[in-house]
Amino acid sequence: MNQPFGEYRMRKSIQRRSFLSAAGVSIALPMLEAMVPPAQAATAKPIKRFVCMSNNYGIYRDAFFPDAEQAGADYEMPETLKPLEKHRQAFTVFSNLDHGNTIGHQGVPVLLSGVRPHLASYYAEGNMSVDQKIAEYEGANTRFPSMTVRVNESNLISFTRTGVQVPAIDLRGMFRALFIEDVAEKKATAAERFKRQNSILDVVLDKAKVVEKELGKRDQRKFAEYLQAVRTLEKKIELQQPWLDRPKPKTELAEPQPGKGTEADLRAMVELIALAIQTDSTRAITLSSGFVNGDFGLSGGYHGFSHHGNRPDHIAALKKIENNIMRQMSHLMDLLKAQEDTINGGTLLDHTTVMFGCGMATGPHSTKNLPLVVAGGGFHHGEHKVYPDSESAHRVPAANLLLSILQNHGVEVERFGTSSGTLTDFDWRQS
Amino acid sequence: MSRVQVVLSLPAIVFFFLFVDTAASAGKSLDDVRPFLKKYCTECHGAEVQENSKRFDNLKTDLKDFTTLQLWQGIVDQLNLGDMPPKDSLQPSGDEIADVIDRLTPVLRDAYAQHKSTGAQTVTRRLNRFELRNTVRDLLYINDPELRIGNKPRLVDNNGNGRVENTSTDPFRSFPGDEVEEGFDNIGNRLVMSDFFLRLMFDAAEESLALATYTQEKPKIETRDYKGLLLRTHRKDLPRLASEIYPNVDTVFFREAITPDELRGGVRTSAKYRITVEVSAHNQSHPWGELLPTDQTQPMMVNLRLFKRGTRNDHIPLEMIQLPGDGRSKTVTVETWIDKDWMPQLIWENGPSDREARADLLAKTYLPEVYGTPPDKTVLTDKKQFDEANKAWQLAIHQGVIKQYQGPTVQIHGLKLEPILDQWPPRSHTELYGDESFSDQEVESLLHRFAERAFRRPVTIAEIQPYIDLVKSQLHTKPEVPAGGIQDLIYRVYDGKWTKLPVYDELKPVKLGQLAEGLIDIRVAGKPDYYGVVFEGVLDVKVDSEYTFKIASDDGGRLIIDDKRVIDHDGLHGASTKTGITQLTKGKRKLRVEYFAYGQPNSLRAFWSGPGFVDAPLAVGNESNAPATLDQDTLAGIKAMQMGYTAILCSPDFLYLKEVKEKLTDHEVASRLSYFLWSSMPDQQLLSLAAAGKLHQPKVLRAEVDRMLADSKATAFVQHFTERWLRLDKISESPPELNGPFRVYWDRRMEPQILEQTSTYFGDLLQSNGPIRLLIESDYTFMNEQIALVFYNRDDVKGDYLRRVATEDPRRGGVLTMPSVMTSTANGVDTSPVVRGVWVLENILGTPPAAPPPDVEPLSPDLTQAKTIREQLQIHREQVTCNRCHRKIDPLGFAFENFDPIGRWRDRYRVGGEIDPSTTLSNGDEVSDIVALKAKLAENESQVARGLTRKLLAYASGRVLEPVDRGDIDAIVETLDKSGNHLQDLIKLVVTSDVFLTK
Repeated sequence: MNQPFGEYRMRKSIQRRSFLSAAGVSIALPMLEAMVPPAQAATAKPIKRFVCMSNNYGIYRDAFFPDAEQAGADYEMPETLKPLEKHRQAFTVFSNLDHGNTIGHQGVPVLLSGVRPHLASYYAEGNMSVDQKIAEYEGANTRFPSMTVRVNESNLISFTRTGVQVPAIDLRGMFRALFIEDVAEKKATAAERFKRQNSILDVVLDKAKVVEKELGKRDQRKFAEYLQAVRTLEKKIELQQPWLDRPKPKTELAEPQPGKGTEADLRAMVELIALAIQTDSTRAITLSSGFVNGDFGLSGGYHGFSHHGNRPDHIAALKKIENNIMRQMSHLMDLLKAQEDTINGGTLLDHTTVMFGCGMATGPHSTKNLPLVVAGGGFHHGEHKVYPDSESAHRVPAANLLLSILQNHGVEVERFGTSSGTLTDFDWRQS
Repeated sequence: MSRVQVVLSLPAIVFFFLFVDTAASAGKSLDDVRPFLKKYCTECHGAEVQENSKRFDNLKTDLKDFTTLQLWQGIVDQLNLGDMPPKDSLQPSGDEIADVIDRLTPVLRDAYAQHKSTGAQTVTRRLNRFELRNTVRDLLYINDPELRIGNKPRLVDNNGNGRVENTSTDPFRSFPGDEVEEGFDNIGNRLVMSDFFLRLMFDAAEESLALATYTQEKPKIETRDYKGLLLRTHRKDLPRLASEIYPNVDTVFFREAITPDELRGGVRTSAKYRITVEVSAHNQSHPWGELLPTDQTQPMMVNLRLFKRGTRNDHIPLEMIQLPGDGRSKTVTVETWIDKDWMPQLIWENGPSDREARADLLAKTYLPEVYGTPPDKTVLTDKKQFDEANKAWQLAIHQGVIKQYQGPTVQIHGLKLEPILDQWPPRSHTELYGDESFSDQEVESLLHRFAERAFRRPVTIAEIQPYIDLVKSQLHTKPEVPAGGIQDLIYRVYDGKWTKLPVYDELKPVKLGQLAEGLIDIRVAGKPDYYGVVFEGVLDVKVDSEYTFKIASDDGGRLIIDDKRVIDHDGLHGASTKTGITQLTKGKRKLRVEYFAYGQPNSLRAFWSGPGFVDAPLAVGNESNAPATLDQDTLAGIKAMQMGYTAILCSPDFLYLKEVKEKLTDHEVASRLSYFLWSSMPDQQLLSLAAAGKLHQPKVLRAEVDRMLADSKATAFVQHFTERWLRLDKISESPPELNGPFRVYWDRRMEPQILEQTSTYFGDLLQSNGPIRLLIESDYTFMNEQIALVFYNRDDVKGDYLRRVATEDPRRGGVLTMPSVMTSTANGVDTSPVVRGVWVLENILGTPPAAPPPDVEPLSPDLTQAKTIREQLQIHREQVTCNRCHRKIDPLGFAFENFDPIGRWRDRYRVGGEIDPSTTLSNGDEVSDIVALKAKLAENESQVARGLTRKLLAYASGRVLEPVDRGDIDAIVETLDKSGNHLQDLIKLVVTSDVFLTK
């Protein structure tokens, strides 16, 4: 679960890449040594990250998916994915994967697990989303086990193990979380809570040792679970506590002002995501973006456009909105490609899985053949992967992709959500 | 003698044999049986051939060897069941069989007694989720209805837009399901403890304590007395117009929920209340039976219940009022806790529906002169004219019908709601915090009392010293002033009614004090309105810079730094925010905040921002508008005590049922007993009996069973045991499709209703100490209106409540064919005789089949249904190895094929033709259908009792039964059989058994 502390890797030279605007804003990479737990030796598992971009209305199918006949590397890049053309070798687009339901808007929260919220009790891990699974895995390795963010939209795709939908923060909230120290009162409350939990666990552990002595052998073996539980909980708290005192990374970047339209807002958010990854503030991020009246010169509402009814103006609107998402995804990939991965070597993109997906495929409520694009992360990319038709008996659950992402990340699981196995024909570099 | 007769007369013979000296002659008895074995068994179970790996020609007689004991037991079992020798082999005579069984049985029982000490002990058992909820509720005296037995917190997806919320206040709502073994979720060896669970328990403990703690002052609740019309907003015409004609009373024509309009948002303050209602019923006998088909032989029944606002049907029944149907009114009083979101409601349970009680139909049939002539569209061609005429006509009909109403009605004359606030704060609070002086003495005695109840046994002070020390250290810790907070913060409170800030320095304060936590808090005023406060302190400014301050005050507020007014937000207004920016130099700056409160609501929030920090609070956040009447010291004391209680609730002595020695102590028995029958902690009486050392006496145990089953907490046993025994937890495993052929299951929300049907049936049998046979077949069942319509094709049952109904239909009595069982044993798409057959073997007969061989291909559903399931399962007959087990499984299941995947009767499959439920049991008996199968099972009452005994023993002792328990089981079954196999008697035998009283 938590990665063992290993040998600290010295960076030979600090490559300070400024990837914000040419106004010369540079991100000082402060004291990485103080922030990041000592990274692992070269032979240990690499550290991976996961970013999911999404929206709540799906995409316009005809412009998104490559031709069904063009499986493989030589597919013609469809209109909406054109901004990713320069990254062709670094991403994969999937056809015919979905979660096997027909539930319209209710499909949106199902994206990252395949499990519908009200059926969660029938699954061992409920409807926990893949980012939260990674968050559990990473534990206190980073300041934030995960970050759930939103731009002009509600983020409905992150669920914890116990079915709680994770509340999302906006652009300003993201900036403050990354760079503004918590006010002393909040720190004091958190510190007090840790102290309280520790004191209670100390008492409880002592009592447990007394109880253990009273029990017979068979009972002792069972009771070991309890002792283990207390010790593990203490350890987890111990790992979380130092984050209270560790300073956050510093930046000369001013706090972004949202409300400049989705194009600017989403771009700014994407840049913060890149910074979050670069500063190792978190290793699991989900982002949902939407639309505000006036974006791209359009007037109307996203939901209205999404029920396009084949009207050319509505379709044109959708294309503009989706094109922007893809442009920002491409920008994110640029940023991550340009940045050296000081922990693993290579670039940040090599070790960051960037995914775009929607739990509802299209505005008119289809949940078949979900739009899914995956980039980076060490997967073997460059192709259009076509799976059996979703109506056929050999349909492949989209959750298989999620399982592959998890295993790639280093989480040792055999199943996740509604998966039936890892995704066939989609491999990654085993390093 | 036929085999069936052998089985029935077995107990008598065995009874006789018990008095024979069996000990010394064990080996001799076994040897005597060898000729029988040689003649009838060893051909297949001998030197050359060993069917099923069993060999009988060289059986040892040393029963200390467990394998040998099991082989001999197998022989007895097969002879008893009549399964061996197989039909086509040489058959022994009835006498011969009887002789063998009679010799072997007592010998084996002795052997088991000797084996007692091998394994078969309960491994230390943690409380499961169901038990934790109930225990915490009882331990902390929590009133919140979310923790009532049987309430299951749900996720709510509002509007289907994906936003999913779990809005329950149940502290255990996010606990995962417990690990299950043989259907039970309380098997010590199987339940797992992890750090995840412990963290959840931590949070749950804190939340539970919060539910039990009351820091606000005694609420002022007025008695609400609703006379005349309670409900003034009707949707339906009939009651609305009746309220105009008869404005002094609510006239109820059909089944609708009546609540006073003012209470529709809930009673708004949680407290104990006394509800008094006056109701009357009229025209129980009436001439309008054709259109209003009420059961005129039954009294009219009005259900007084509590209902939770904003839900579809969350309710708690309080009292079912039976009314004489002649107009005499009845006054009923109930005292109960009502949570703020709940309201009292009255529903005429067995009244007609609103579709039946329609004025136009009634007039047309019974009051033709009122009906008159409806306006004619062909005559009044102008739409507007027609509509007006039609409206007038309808009005006239309604008024006429109301005035000449001969059908049954209920009238509600009044509802009174009085608060019962004799105890404030409520008991849950005082039990935890006493009289709140928090001296070291108090801490000790409070924790001691709590620990004794939480640990369910006497506790020494030395034992709880660590908890006491924990609390004391917390009490004596000065809270750290956070760096961003205000240092040396003091306050002065003034009384007065101002519309703008007075010059405070000219006035005399009524109260002074310090706020050690460094945050402004207007609750120090101790009253909700008409006061003023001045706060003064020091801000430690770290850097020369511009700083932004914000105040949101209701009403006037002013912020001054070093005598400079930074924000002026005076006057009467709501809690709007005002900002002020000022340059500050590094160092200690004097801060002064002036505030006054006019009428309610009142609040004060303040923040500041500077380089590197944003919106650091200068005042406490408002959790509630209600001012805490408790001072800081008391609040700190409460917080410290909560730490101690949380520690106790996370301790192993609470979370586990600790059982140390083989012979359980009295207190350990008390716990077992209470978790058996109440799924909760022992009450004071049980603990007293334990302290007096009486809980090993059978007479006392039996008396306690009587007492505990009569307590309402026994609902936990009725509901939970029924679910576990009949594996109803599987009901939601493969639910039927939402919009498929079984959509009625969802449309009418049948699942909770059919589950309640089964547990109510069991509970009723338990209360009346009925014979176990009635679990298999009976001439009655429980129904409500929906269940009757959907599953029994009856429309003569009215109302939502379940009641006992006689059925002449022999297919339907007992639990075997109840819809809950049928749904749990199907997969939402089709049914399987194998699944249902296994279910009968596992849960009714207590003879679970062996697991199938590991490489068996699962049966893929034949979607074309070209073959019936019977044809598909033919393969079981054709394969000899399959047949060995499946000849016992499949036949039991075929009889159930007439019940579809949700338990409705069907004569044919949807695709595939007539259903043939006939079957041949493994002992050769022919069974034509479910009725015959049930009769066969009911004949074998002892076997059914045995199955149920095993289930009860496992549930009661928290462990899986082992072969060595056979002796105890046999003893119980025999004794039970002598007294007629009654259910409560069985419970008492379980509770006085060795399995229950030893580890």
